[in-house]
Amino acid sequence: MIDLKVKIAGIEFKNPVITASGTFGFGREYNRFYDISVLGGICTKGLTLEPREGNAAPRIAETPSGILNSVGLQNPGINSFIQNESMFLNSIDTVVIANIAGNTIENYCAAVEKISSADCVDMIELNISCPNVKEGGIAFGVDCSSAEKVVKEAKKLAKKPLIVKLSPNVSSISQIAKTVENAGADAISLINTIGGMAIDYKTKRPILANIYGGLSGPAVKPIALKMTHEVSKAVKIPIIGMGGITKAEDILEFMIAGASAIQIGTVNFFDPNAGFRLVNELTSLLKECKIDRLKDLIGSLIIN
Amino acid sequence: MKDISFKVSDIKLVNSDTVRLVLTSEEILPKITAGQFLNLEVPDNSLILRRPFCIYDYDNTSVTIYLAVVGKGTLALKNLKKGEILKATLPLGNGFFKINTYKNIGILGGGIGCAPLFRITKDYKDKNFFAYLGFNSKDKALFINDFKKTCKKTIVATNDGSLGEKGYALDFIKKDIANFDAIIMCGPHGLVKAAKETFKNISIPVLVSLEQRMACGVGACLVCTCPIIADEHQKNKRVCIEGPVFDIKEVVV
Ligand SMILES: Cc1cc2nc3c(=O)[nH]c(=O)nc-3n(C[C@H](O)[C@H](O)[C@H](O)COP(=O)(O)OP(=O)(O)OC[C@H]3O[C@@H](n4cnc5c(N)ncnc54)[C@H](O)[C@@H]3O)c2cc1C
Ligand SMILES: Cc1cc2nc3c(=O)[nH]c(=O)nc-3n(C[C@H](O)[C@H](O)[C@H](O)COP(=O)(O)O)c2cc1C
Ligand code: FES
Repeated sequence: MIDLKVKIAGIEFKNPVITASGTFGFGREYNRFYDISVLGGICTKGLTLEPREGNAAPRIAETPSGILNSVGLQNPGINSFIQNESMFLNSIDTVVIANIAGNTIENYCAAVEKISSADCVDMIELNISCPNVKEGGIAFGVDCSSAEKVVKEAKKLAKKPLIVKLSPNVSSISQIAKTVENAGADAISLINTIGGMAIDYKTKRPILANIYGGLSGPAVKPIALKMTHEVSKAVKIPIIGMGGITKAEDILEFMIAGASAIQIGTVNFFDPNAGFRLVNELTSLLKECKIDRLKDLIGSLIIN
Repeated sequence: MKDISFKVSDIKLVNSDTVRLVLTSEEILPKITAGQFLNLEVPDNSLILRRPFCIYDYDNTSVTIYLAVVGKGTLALKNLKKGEILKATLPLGNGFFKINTYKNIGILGGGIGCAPLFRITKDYKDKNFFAYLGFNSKDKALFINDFKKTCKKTIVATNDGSLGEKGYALDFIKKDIANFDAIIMCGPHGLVKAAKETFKNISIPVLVSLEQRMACGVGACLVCTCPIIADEHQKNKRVCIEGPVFDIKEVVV
């Protein structure tokens, strides 16, 4: 019997496959394709205290082996989320992570306090790395002192384990990682999207109405893998790795680099059964590699 | 909605840049209604997103789509060979709604945008359909014989007058508007914009099928939004799941 279980900040996941924020709605859409209880966990669309309408369209451009998005945190707000999604989320048997964003420290704190009261939420992922909103978001994730402040304050109010999601758009991700660890983060997730742009040379216009967007998908995997490894060397708290994962082999690579679990984002768009498929492929791959306990792989990178 | 494996059972170039593709599945397809679309895998590994196409016609195990070759993805699809296998998620979106409440329906299509309008004329045999189909020129004209079979009247307009009437289909439907209880339409952005202006004072509903760049196609990623007026407020609605059909009065162009 292959053991896929992993544990992060005291929460047990039946397997390391978690769906990434912003790519999986609140779970309902993909539950029509497969029973999403097979997943280790799901992470919600980024939630803010008040509803947000997001950016103008077009919000997506395809680039080689990747996509740029500029959704800009469109969401119904935390109140509406709790009211409309709790029953559904309580009915599924998987870890539910609420992804939370804000634009001031007070605003982040109020959001964290409110989401802590939702019984359908098992963990909180603090998004200090959204590249698609004008104020807040990424500003907290690229500067050590504001990252420290927001995590410290949020931690005081979080009644659930606090994951902090980091931006790759920084010069030293390990420094930010250390800072949020010292500020009280229970775990780190990475990477959010990488700032990028697409231009239509014929019209001389940017494709995204927002001009810039965030890159995700297979194109970012090598960067994400490196950052996962760098951060795993810098901190002791568990890491959730993501960026371009499409197959079971990718999951093993992230875990060898130091991740305790992984998230899958863009792959859901081109394979609506990706979560289900990856859990199955992971079991077969471990059998093939004669690995009984997935946990044993975490941080097992050999360098010489 | 379901992700289904299809075999290319027929592929044909119908004019210089339009392909008719018939996809057949071994399993019985979920129930499809007129105006819905599918999200189709592209046989090119560097392109990861699927491409949305409306379902022109269908039966229990097969779907027919028409695709205009406009970029890399549609070019790769044009080069498909009979027998190749590819996946598509379907059926997506809401079809044309409340059709049962109307009797005489005007159809307004522009170019490849006529595609989502055909099946409805085939499904509702008790209704009277009047089609106004616009194309750039004779060599770009499509679907005309199909519409002639299902519609009471089919008017074709070309910009250069090389086929049917010379001018815009919109101008011809405008003249006959008193005959209809509703209009359903689809076409390029320019047509939607002009139609919004033309129809701004009419009392009958005008249902328009919109296009937007998409990723998931199922409502999960929020990249496909269009501004829509709902309860006097402008909201960003997802074309894939809240559309693609909207009342043109609510559409912000
Ligand atoms: C609901 C819906 C139904 C459609 N039905 C049809 C149809 O029946 N026949 C047909 O020929 N076309 C249809 N389209 C448009 C078709 O999806 C695009 O022409 C196609 O995706 C272009 O792909 P490409 O790789 O060739 O173009 P590129 O421009 O290289 O594509 C780049 C990206 O932009 C997206 N994109 C480009 N143009 C459009 C567009 N007009 N609408 C949406 N996304 C676009 C592509 O999907 C891709 O992600 C429909 C679009 C939607 C949203
Ligand atoms: C359309 C889209 C929306 C996203 N929205 C959010 C969000 O609201 N909050 C967040 O923390 N990350 C968001 N992300 C980032 C993903 O969660 C993930 O970090 C990133 O896409 C990398 O993983 P991937 O390559 O597997 O997609 C979004 C990504 C995409 C593509
Ligand atoms: S394409 Fe993802 S929500 Fe519409």
